[in-house]
Amino acid sequence: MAKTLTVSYKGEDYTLEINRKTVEFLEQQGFVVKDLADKPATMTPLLFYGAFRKNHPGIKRKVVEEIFDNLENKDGLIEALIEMYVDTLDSLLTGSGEGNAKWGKNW
Amino acid sequence: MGEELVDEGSPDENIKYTELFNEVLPHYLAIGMTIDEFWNGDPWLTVTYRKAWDIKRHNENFRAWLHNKYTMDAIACALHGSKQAPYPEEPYPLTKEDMARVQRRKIEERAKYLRAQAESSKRKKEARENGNN
Repeated sequence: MAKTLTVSYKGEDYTLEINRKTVEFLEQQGFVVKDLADKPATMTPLLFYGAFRKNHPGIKRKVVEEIFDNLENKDGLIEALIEMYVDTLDSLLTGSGEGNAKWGKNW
Repeated sequence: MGEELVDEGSPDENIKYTELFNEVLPHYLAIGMTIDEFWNGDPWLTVTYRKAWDIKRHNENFRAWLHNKYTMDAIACALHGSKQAPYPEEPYPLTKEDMARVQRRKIEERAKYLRAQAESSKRKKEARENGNN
């Protein structure tokens, strides 16, 4: 089952999801998972923006950045997004995808 | 196919996920996944496709085995005659229910045969008794 999470901002609910197309887009934008620790200021907002693309393709980057700046518990959210990101590869390797997620609202 | 779709050994830290996706994509297309499902769908759908592929392979293997089993029966019947090696009158039972139905029918046939024998013995006995009278 695909993992999603919901972010609410100014009365609007946004469903964040990461699929392989998202990963392709993020890599084209220069996103590298292993650089998250070294370049969090660049990589983290980019990952957050990418997670909007599937369900909110028309959303402006500026709006996403505004939401990101106002987020509580950023670390937890990023951890969840990384888990969703890694799922796109793990699902090619493992036998089952039944969730063992530790964070998030929708899984 | 299955777990060997991606080699888990010695991962290159610099390899891009997208490169791996493109590498395995043809395998998933071959087992029936669409490009849209692969790129835009639930990432875990690949696991379902692999399981379905395993079932399909298992079924194909069984079908091939069964086909040759019937062929062997036909050859045995042709070589040894239908009395010594009769060709099955119906398909092999595949499920427990099929098996139970076949067994039940065999028991019924046996009971019918025994009843007929008893009836025949009874008639013979009666005929003998009537002859003696």
